[in-house]
Amino acid sequence: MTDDALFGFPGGLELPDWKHWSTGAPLRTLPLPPELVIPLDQPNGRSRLLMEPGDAVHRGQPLAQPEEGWAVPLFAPSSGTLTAVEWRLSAHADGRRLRCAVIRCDGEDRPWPGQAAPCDEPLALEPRDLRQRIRAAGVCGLGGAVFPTAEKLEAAAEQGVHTLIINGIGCEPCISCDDRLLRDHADAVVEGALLLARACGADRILLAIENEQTEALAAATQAAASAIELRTVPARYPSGGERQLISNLLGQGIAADGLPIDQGLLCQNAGTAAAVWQSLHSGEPLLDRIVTLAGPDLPQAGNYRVRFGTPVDWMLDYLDVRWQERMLIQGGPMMGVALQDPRCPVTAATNCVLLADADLLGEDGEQRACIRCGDCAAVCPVRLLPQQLHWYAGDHDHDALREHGLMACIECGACAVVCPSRIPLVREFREAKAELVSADLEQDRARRARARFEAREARLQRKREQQEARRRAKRDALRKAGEETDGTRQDPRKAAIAAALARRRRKQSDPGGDGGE
Amino acid sequence: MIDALLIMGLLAAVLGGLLGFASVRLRPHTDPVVEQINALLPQTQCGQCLYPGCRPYAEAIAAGEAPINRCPPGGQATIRQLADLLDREPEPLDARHGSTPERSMVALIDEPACIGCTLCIQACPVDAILGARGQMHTVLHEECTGCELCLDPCPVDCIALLPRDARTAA
Repeated sequence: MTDDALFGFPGGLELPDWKHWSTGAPLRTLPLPPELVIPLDQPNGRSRLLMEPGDAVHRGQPLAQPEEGWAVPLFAPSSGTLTAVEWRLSAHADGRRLRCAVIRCDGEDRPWPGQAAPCDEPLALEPRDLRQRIRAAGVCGLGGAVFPTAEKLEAAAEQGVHTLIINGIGCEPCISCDDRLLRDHADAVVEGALLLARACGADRILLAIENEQTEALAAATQAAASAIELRTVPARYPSGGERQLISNLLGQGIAADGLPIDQGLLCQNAGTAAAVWQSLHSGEPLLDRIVTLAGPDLPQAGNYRVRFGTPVDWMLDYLDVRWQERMLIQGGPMMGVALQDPRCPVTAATNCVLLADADLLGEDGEQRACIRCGDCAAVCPVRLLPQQLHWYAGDHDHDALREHGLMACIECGACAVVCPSRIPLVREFREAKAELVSADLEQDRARRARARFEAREARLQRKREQQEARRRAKRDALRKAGEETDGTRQDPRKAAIAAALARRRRKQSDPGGDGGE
Repeated sequence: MIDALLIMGLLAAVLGGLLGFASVRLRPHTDPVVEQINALLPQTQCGQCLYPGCRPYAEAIAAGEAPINRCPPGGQATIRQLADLLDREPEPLDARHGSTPERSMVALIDEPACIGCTLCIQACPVDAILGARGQMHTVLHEECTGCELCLDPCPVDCIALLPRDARTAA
């Protein structure tokens, strides 16, 4: 219940807590927009559309199924008509286009007749059935990584986990969707946590809440079943990061290339737990999420339950927000990405829409040279040396970047915020990471090309040798045949002619024999 | 005196025998320098260096027959690495052999136009083209190195080179 027995985590920093911007009003539900846009390419995988443009769809009807990588099945968030499949700008930092299904809503929101029956006692289900239902409902991690929840549970059940950690800490300033969810629906989070624990076989459940979220804490205390241990942690960014939270609660470090599952731990976001409970209880797949709308001096700020596919600009226009002159960010001020196209749809990854007047955390401004003050290294929660990485990234020195653990960077942004020279460190690290990944890809391609080239050379060599061997064998055979007929050396060609004549005579004398020669 | 001569002579004979045995039986099968050079080359197998593939070029470099600046797909980065490995001065890329492409390219067959002549299949150094006589051919774009060797033999010019990411998105 208190900050007892916390182990802390390296680095981190105190940030202004801007959650109060959006926690005042209770959770509200946004109405249906006229058009929904569902990206078929998901952050961790791709899915295949199950319908044709022109088809009528119902709410909760399967729209696409996983095809590649770690993807979840997608469902029509409302009823209407599937009008098109087009390429649309996404909320990625590099502004890539994604294949999207566009649904024109008919406003009636009719449910799909084929959907699963509601389950009154989901806790009575077998763990295997639970996982199967969670998979079929398309539930994925709502903390931002949107990894399929069922895959995580399968891996956890296979390897065996003892502790489930429910993360109720808003990962960044401004984002309050988990806080508001706990205040208004703590029972759903608790029920969902029990279901997740049963599905993965964990017998201990920890629910982590930030100590400043007093109302969320009160609601959770009231709802928590005896099986759930509540833990409060002090607000210190990035205390909501998975590895930082584990280090803080249990004092266990997770190797950069390892997973919490390796140590018998499983982390799930509070929103994910509530989504599991809701989808099992109602039989309906995951169709919406809670989105925080935040920004300084924004009367409409708050938390809204938004159907997937709702375009962000429609949402803002509906709420009468004047967004045109402000910067739109998906996510928080630390790790969020600027929306290049305000028409980007709300997806499972959209935890927050932030309206910022540039320079919210003061990381913009004129960039100066690194003065090697070391502040960045002091706040890095993964114990990296951002200043060294900054030099190596500038030099494109891949080996040094790897040696200094660039790939372990969680892109939390703490180093960039404290940098007195205003160096956009995280942007540099993201680009360097992309460079390393593509260099690996090139390396892998070169390795394959080399193997294929060598295999081809070997095959051609073998073919030449075989041809040579056949030629020699035939010449020898002919010579031998000639020697056998009359005991002396004879022209092989004459012998071949003689053999052919003999075959023909044999065939004529026996017309019923094998005539296919 | 005799003892010392005997011992030294015996020692020389034994050690000489050992060295002789090692030089014959324990000799490394390939020249490791060739392997190291080959590992740095991009394995495009394009032949722009005028050797029939990356490995032959690596052998020529190792033998001192070829300069290190003949590989356009590898570009300046490969030249720098080769210079590091062989302890030579880096040189600018020899422009007579081509220029470094800005993006990774792959071949794409305009399939309706393909007459199924198999000439490109025979030209492909990494077996990345599938097809049979009289049947449409296609490129396994994940395996294609963008070497351009299939462009020339095509009698109907139905092969084009596209950036790899454009090919994936198409």
